[in-house]
Amino acid sequence: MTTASRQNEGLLGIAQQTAEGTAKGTATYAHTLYGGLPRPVRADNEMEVASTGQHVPGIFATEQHWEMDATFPGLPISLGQWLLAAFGTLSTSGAGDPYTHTFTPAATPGFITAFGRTPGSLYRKFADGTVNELSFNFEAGQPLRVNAKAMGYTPTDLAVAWTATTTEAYDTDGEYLTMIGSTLKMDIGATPASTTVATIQSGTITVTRDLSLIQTDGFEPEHRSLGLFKVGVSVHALWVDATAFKATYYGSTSGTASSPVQPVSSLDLTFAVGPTTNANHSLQLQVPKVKLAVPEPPDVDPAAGPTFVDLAGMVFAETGDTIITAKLKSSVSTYT
Amino acid sequence: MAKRVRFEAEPGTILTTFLGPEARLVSWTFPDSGHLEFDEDDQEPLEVLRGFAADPSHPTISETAATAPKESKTR
Repeated sequence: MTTASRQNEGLLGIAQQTAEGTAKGTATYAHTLYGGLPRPVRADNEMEVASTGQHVPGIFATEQHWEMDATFPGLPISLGQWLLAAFGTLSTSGAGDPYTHTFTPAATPGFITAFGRTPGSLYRKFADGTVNELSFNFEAGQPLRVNAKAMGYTPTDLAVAWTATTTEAYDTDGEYLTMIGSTLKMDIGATPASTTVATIQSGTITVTRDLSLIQTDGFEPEHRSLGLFKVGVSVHALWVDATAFKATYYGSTSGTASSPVQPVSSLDLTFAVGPTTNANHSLQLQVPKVKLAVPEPPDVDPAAGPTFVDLAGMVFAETGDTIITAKLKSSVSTYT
Repeated sequence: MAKRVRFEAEPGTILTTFLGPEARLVSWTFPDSGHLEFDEDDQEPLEVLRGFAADPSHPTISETAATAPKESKTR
């Protein structure tokens, strides 16, 4: 094995499979990433038996699958493919650019084939994957960062380079999703969110799906088990008044005594594209029902630094609700 | 003859989701007529499209009884 490679290059690809066991040969989309390419994971075990020399007589491998923990910029074209994989239900409307893609959680998400190009131009293909977490991280002035976690059955290295139908660029011209120019709505104790606030500095919305891979008679897992689809939110915002604190601990924005009643709050965040604006393209994340836990109000700061409040919430959906909706407006006519 | 069920939406609306333990990808596209029709015993599309119709997050999809057994689905 040579260790001479200095190429710090990489590329991540994704394609939606039509079903379990139908790996794709070509990525639908490829794009750059900050890190976290998919990789094989093998379980090696020592043979723990008593022997005359009290040494381990051998090693055996029990299982191999693949995992991914990739972070990449939110790009308005390829992001739809990740949203379809993570959410699983999609409706698309529109007769031309922009098309509106509405993603909601499905009981059964699809399987993806992930593609990786590692430093040294090692081309890899990872089949039968399930996206079990998709996180949107936003921060003042910054492009939207997306983190996608996935696990799957079959890792392979390719003898020849994989190709992608579309390779989406991330460069100075954009378009990429960004906090700049976004419209962030948040209401404490009310739903749906309709109040535009200019006090949010950063935050995260994360969707997770409990996932287990199941091994039976093969070296790789061949089945999966799905659990809860959960959503978490956190917001770092300027402390303006005690509204959120009172509503959370005292049941209403004017409350003064402890209350077991937790008001229902809501978020509706729309991220624009930049650096050149294009009102036709955006990502909207709607969380209609969240119960916020607010920490203590900020302490005084004689140095006159800004005071912030961290809002963390647990998202829920009652009968008839959609726990989270993602709407992507892009030039793409369809995601499959 | 089985009764027909009609769904109406904006022409070009595409509905996509996954079904079964093997997560089979299924998709329906509303044609220029703006409606899709299925036999009432065709459970798979009816279940999926009714799910979309019941969710206000998605584009407006309405269900009506078809007046004639006319085939107009694309899949």
